[in-house]
Amino acid sequence: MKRKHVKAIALLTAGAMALLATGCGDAGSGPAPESKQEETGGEAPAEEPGDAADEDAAGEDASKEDASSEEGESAEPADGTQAEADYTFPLAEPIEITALSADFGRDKTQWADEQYEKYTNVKIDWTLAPTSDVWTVVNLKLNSGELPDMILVNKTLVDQFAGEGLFVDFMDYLDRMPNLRAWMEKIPAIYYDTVDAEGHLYCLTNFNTRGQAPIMSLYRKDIFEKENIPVPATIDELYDALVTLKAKYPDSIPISNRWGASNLIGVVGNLYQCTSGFYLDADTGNYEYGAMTDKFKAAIATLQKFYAADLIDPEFATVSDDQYIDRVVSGKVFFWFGEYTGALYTESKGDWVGNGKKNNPDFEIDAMPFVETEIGQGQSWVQAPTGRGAWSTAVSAQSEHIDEIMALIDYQLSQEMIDLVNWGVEGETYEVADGQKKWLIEPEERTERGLDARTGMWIPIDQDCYDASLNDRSREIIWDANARLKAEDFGRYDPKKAILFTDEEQERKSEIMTPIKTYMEEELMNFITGKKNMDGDWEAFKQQITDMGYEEILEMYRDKYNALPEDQKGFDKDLGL
Amino acid sequence: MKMSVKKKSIPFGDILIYGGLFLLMLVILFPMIYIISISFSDTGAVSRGEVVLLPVEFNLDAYRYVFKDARFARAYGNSIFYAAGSTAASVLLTGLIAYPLSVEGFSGRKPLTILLMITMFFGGGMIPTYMVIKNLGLLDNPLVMMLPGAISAYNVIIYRTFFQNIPPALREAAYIDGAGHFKIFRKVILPLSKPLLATMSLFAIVGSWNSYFDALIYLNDSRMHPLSLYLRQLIVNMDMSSQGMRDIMVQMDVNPRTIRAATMIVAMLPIMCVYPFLQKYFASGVMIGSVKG
Amino acid sequence: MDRKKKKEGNSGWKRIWMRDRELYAMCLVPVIMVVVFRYFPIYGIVMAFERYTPSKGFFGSEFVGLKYFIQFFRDPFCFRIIKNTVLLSLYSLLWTFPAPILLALLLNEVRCSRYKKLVQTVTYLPHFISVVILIGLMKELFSSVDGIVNRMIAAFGGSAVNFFSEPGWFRTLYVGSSLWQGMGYGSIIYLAALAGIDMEQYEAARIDGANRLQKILYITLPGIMPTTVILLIMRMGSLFSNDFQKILLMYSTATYSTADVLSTYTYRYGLENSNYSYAAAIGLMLSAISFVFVWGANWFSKKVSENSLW
Repeated sequence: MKRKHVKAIALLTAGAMALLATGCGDAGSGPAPESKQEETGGEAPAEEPGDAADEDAAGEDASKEDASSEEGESAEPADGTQAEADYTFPLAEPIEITALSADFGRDKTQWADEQYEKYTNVKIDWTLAPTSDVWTVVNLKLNSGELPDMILVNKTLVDQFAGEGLFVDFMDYLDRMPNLRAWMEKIPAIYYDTVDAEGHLYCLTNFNTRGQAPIMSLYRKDIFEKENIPVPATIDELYDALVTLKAKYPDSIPISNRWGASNLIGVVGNLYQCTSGFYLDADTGNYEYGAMTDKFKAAIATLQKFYAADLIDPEFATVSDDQYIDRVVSGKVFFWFGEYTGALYTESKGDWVGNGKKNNPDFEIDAMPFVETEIGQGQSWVQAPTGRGAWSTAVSAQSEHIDEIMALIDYQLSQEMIDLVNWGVEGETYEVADGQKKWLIEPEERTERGLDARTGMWIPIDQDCYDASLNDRSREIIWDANARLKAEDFGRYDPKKAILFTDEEQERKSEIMTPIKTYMEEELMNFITGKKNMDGDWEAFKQQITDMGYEEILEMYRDKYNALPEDQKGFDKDLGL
Repeated sequence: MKMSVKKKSIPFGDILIYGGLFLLMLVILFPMIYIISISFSDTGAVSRGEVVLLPVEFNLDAYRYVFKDARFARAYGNSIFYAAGSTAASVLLTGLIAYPLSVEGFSGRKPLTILLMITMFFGGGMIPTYMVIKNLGLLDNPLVMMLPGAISAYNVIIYRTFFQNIPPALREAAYIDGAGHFKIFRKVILPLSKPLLATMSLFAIVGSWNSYFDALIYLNDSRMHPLSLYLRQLIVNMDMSSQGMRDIMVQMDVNPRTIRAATMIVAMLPIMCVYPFLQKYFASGVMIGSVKG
Repeated sequence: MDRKKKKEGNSGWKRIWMRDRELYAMCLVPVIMVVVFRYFPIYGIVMAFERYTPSKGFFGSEFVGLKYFIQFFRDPFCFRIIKNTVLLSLYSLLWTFPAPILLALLLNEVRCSRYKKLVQTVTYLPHFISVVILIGLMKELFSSVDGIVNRMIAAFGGSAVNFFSEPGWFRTLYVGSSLWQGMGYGSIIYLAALAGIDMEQYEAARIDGANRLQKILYITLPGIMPTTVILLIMRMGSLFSNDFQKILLMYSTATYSTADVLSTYTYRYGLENSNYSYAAAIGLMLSAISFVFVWGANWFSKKVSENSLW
């Protein structure tokens, strides 16, 4: 199964390449780009895409550097001789294309968009939908068969429309997209996230220039210091510390939560190296269903213990965002299992510490390492560079400008375009000092100019740029975490390749798992609040889930995982850091 | 509770009624004032929970944010235009179909009623409706905000009920005087239906003002967007169930409560002003003296 | 119409046409619009009976008959969510149907027209509060940590109630907020109906020596009865619909046992994959049942009164 699968894909891709190569009619771009293409496409049997890329690294990187050092040239110098496949930006002849995306808070008429047009000579006629409703609109457009040239999609949608010939296959154009190839080498997930079972890449996932560790455990430094409590290193130490604090501060809510019970359960689950649903387990090497594992049981037992000691917000399942921030800023909360550190000091993200200090001048929140549990090192969700296909770009196969658009998308991935939409124009909006970029303008002006990387269609967010917009202290915390990530192994990574389901399988999954999930979530509340015990009741809970038939779906996951080629198994630990 | 002789004292019933209504108003006003105060307060003060009933650190930042764009004025104008158009269309068309239904012995009464009743329960859904509208060329056309939703079976029934309650004697009198149905409708029914028309106009205006879904899917050109859709862009309400979503949300800037409150107030204001104008039509006594003898 | 045709032949048709032609002319344009905008798209219903894939479209997708209906009834939670849906609607009906009527009647008794207008305007405001803000407000008021309501309970010696996490309180909170929001706005239509009652009747009653209560019972109530009955019958058709967005904001895994209704369950069902067919099947089934309820209510109403929808 494995080998056949891989061979088929390799053959298909080779065939497609051959077809295209002949179609384009360039003698010059014969074997060389084709074989590079195969390997970076990741179908080389039993080889890591990274390995293949390394082999070609010298030639590839050299040409990439040539490409990016010249103003806007997207063609590969190595391919000297072709005719239509080549586009340099700004285009000689202006073109106008249509595109649909979410508005992300602004319409695309700001300074950054003007610059984009100047650099590319491409005028984009935007249809923007409010971010809350964009999927309704996209769904409708796809169903009605009218697509703009470029359209925002996600992987699930694209899978549903597979085989209809609606979208352009990125693999067909990969040989003419050097920037994309380079990014795929650096971040293989760009390929794996959205490639379908037949090796087609009908949409391109969004990605940032690198990932990071935005979530850390946080604690009220001032309170801990005042009461002479050392930073807890294990879950038991944490328990004791918080019990002590609760006794001294009876009005406090040591641990609060937002975004519903599933968030708290998820964060603590991560601490215990599992989740509540189906996940790839590093210890057993295959998929598990969280609720049935001992790891998860331990996580819930801990939550039950903490809740019983009054350490957890009694309203943890229903607290609204506003209420949560109120609790934080008014000083009631002392510890966070896992929370976004950007919100701590940055005004535009909420500035918790700043607001907290207005109530209490000593107010201080700091990050701390994840505590150890009986399972081992506490872990946390880390942000991968790619969005796993949840936000992707697709190109309509009906478009009149497919070649130009593909070249445009490639050009969007070049360093100067990334710089343009993230930072702006050197000398005008930013400067380079000691190899680091620094802003020359204030945040309000940045917003006014539209410098939020939302110009164009999913140009990668320069993670350094985003971090630069954070307060110094926030940024310190995040970069510190990034540095420690590998050494302390606290990252919870996604599987390299997400399991693909057919329509029928998806239906079966919904049919079985929706009631199971409903039952599980309800029962978890009972366990956490202590209405049920972790012994007999937990066994009955597991039995009920078994009776409801979860094993059928688990088998599905496991079989499909086993069927993956070796290079697609395991975790995607590549954050591009 | 007898009102025997004209006493100077206030009847107990009145005290109950006036008092009860007063309490009701308080229960409603307090939260409303709270929300208004939030919209005029400083974000930090709101986060710190300092706002109880009156604004703290009064400022107009939230409103400035809402008004910042030229888009706001355009969206506002669009909304007024759509509200006016859809109300006119709705009242006129619903009235035209409801009147024949209110005429006893109208041969088309049963089939028409069935035709309408079915639409009350069964429909094709978003995608087929979209296809029909697209094929009619109504996309990006202001008419799409006024026509498709103009007639609802629910409203037709209400109109019909009101029309039926107008004393038949009046209709017959006009009929004897030689008036045809059109004339009866214009000269007898409509003037006597002022409360109904005022109510239904209000409902139509409110409905149009708050609706954003039709604009979302039928109007691609953002210059045609109504206010409700524009305000929806300011407040991102995404499903928070996946970590990836949360990550996007956290990357974007914070959604202050002050802005949410301000957008709500801004949307409410015009409608609040419409109501007092229509209230006079609810005065009793519309039919005084209409039936003689 | 067929009967007439058979009995009277051609001349019958002609007579009907002559008599009713103006009426037909009047409703022509509206009827066309209803047909175009409501009946043309109705083919979409077929989606409930097939495994719809967008790529194959409505008529190319595989026909699966009653598969989704059966799937729904096999779901372990099927009974509970139906129960929750219906109970919620019934409680809602019980409280939010009479309240606007009561308010309208009270307002009608107010003689000072300025006070009347003031109350009208104030009570109609809450309708415009967005549901997100409303729920946010409620969570603050009823918070077990620092909410006003719990503080008052404590002042009277009770213990704090975690309102939003208690399944037993969900329906009360839902209906209560609906009442608060909708009472004023809902009374408008009854005020309009009240305005249509002949003033001379009141005069005659006063002369006859009727007191306030008697006037209400014998003039006012019968006067708005047609409107009330019609609205009630139509309300029967909404037994299976609830305010989805509001429930989504109010509920949590702690309150599933009372708060999880058809629309929220189906929403979670389709969250991972957009299974349009399943949702369409459920929707169709509910519409059919609602239709039966309305038909039943209408039949009953015809038996006991003169008012009915058809």
